[in-house]
Amino acid sequence: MKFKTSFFHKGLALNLLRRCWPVWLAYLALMIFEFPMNIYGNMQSWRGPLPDLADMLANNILQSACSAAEISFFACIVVVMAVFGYLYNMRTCGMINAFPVRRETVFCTFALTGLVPMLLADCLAALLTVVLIGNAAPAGTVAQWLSMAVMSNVAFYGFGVFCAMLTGSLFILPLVYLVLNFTAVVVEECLHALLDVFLYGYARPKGTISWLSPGNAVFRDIHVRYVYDRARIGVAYSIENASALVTYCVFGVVFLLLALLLYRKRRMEAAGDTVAIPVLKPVFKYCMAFGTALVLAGFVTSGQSLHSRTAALLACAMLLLGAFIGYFTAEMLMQKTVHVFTSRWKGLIITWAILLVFSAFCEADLIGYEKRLPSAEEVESVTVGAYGMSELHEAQNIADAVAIHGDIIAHKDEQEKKLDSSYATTINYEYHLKNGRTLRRTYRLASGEEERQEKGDLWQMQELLNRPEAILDRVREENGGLTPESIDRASVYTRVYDERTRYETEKDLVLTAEQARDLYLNGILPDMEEGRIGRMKFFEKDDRLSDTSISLELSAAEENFLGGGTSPIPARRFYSSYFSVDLDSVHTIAWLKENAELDVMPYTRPSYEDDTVISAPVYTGVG
Amino acid sequence: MSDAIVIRNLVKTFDGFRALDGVNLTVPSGSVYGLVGTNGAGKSSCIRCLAGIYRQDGGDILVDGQPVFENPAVKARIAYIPDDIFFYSQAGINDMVKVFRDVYPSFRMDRFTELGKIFNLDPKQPLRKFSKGMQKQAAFWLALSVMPDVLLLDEPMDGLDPLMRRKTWSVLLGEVAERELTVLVSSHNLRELEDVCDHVGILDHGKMLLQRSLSDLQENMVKIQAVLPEGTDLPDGLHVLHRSATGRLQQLILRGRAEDVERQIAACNPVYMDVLPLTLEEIFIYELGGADYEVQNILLS
Repeated sequence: MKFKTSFFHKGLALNLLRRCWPVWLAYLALMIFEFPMNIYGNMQSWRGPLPDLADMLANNILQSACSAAEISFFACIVVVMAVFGYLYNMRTCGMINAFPVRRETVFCTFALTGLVPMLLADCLAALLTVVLIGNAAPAGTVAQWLSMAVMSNVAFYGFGVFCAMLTGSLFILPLVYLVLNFTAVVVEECLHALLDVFLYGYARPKGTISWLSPGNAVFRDIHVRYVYDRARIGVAYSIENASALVTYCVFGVVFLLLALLLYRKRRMEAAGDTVAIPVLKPVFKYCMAFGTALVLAGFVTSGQSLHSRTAALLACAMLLLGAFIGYFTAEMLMQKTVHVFTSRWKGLIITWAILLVFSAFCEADLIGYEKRLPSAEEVESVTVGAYGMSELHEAQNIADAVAIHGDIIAHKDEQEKKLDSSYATTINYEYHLKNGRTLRRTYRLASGEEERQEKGDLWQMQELLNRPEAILDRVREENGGLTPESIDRASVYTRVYDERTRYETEKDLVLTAEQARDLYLNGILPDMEEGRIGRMKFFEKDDRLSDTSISLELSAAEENFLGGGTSPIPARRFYSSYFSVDLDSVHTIAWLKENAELDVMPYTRPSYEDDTVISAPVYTGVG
Repeated sequence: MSDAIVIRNLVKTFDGFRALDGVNLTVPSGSVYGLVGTNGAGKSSCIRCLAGIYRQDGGDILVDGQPVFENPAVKARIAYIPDDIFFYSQAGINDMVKVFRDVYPSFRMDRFTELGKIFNLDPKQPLRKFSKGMQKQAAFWLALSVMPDVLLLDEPMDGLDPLMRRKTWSVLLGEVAERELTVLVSSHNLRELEDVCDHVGILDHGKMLLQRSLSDLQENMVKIQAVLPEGTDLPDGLHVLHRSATGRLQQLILRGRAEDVERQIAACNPVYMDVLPLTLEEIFIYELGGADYEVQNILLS
């Protein structure tokens, strides 16, 4: 009897299809409901202007493409469980492997038979959409939907099959898939939270490894981006980070090939085992121990105002507890018994020792992270700030920024003590050094009244950030390069409060584009250049000096727009730039007085506790 | 007679435990080989290696001189009936026939129809509704329809009633006689294999303690009941393996050819002498010296 080498066995494929067809049918039904039915329903119920229908459909189709990727995340693992479920039962595994079929053939047959019906379902859903909506949607959007659905299926299916090769338990498979899909982002977050506790001034690195978590990408990073014009000139839609799916798709194919290699070497007696590959058993155990330690410590310390030694001790305790839980959970899963505490402590003790050394290493700052301070001569520029960042180039400003930074380091213990009873403001430093490197630090500084009166570190920082260079850079940065040409109009809001009558009057003036530009050029800009407007205020008492604020409404041509949009008209971005007028904003005050007959009054605080304040908004225009 | 199955120094470990520790086994074509051992001796592991399910860690497994693992041409000639049979949950025998036809090129529908008269099961009924014994019958039905050259049976008769056991063995032995089917059958009970095997191997703790052809064993051992004249003892030169007496009636198990031993005892003019059949158990116990407690456990379990 002669046997040809083949990578596909029709008989096995047909048998699989005969047994598991409801899984693919359910997927097809879901796709049809999510895509053609949904889009068609929206089209039928559309009552808006006809030209806008295409925009609406484009939006819906791309939203549906994102949903298809999310559905794919779940559907793929269900299909993988149905297709490769035989590996997890010795009886089925024995039957399939006793068949006169090579392992490569079995794997390729099952892998393809699992994936192809899903891809066909995608194609069918896309085809049905075209039939139902015709050319009502912009050209290419349905193709974009199809490509996203196909790519996410290949990506998640490939990864799911790879996960299926790592374990011998049907119960463990979805957990492995879920955990590995989010490992990078969770580990990254927890590690940052932990280092934030151990290292004073710890700043997150700019780079991220969250792209190693495809699940995270699909649910958080890949979404529809749209820019619309208030005047309804046009709307453009595209999918943000769609290119990531191409990468994941390629990785999906790579994972399928890796899965094939693992399948060829698989010990079929691993059916029922938590870890199917013997060499991965210790890896699994220690990953569980360290991973649980990190997650528990990161979760407990994350987002809390813990910067003291107590916090470090708590984090350390959580690390040890997490390691204990993870280590013995892994043992229980692998041994399939809860009686694992009588032995095997050696590995846990080693894990604890490593975690203690790590904690001590960080807490003692043996690498000098906390004390690292560049000299002013080393610094090309420094970007510093809190909720708004300013890039400083002037030598004096750089020298002062470095000096304040030195004070912050020197006052570590005091700052940590003050934080227990005070609000905090986060200050970020990013030095661009002359050698091309960057140095980043983040501090949480007390922002209470005591700090203000003592003119402490945060007060010094406020003073630095309110220098003209800092204000101008910050305003430019925040407003996407504010220029007179970008100003469309402005509104001026003011509130007058009469202490005697307790009557509060609000005024909202709307300025034309020309007036707004004039106000900017002759009021706001000169004040900014003198450091009199656009200040950063960290302390409550400095927060509002007057009751007048100006909102400049700006628009700019949309840059860095990722193509794939549906509108032939270049998109524009709209935003507002907000200024609080201070009592020494002399140029702005003068402009408002002269052109709008508006007096800027000191901020008064009505006593809300005594009586009701009567408000009467008044909307007016100028000229 | 050529060897259908040859296993040399087979080693299989599970998490560091050597379940099979250098097993050697030879099964001639057209013979029925009984693999005997207690639970955990390594019988099922050995058969799974032979069926190409497990990859051996060491040694060779050959069927007609060809390695089995990942060799579809050889595996197509092997049918395997495990102890714990699996059928797809919704499948009836007819559905399983589709699977077997797709997978085994040698599957013969005419043979399937022919065997249907013997097994007398409803091929449309879901197999999950069958009793364990009926599922075993279905497995035999399907396996024999494949027309295998080698049939691997792991504790095959569990769940079958005595009548069906006899029927099934009758079909199997018919295949052995007609087309030289080679059968390797495992059991923890030697008595079960007594009437059907022509070769027996004893596996214990992953090692092959002994394997022999039954004809070799039977030719060289004899069981005699005799009453000797008063004051007469057995002649010198007889190799007595076991001797017991009830009154004057002596029961003897002796090594040697039956005719020679009979002649020697007849020379003593016994009052009564009869040659009794030896059970497989007795053969193995006395062949192994009878002193090994472990072996007796295997044989008498």
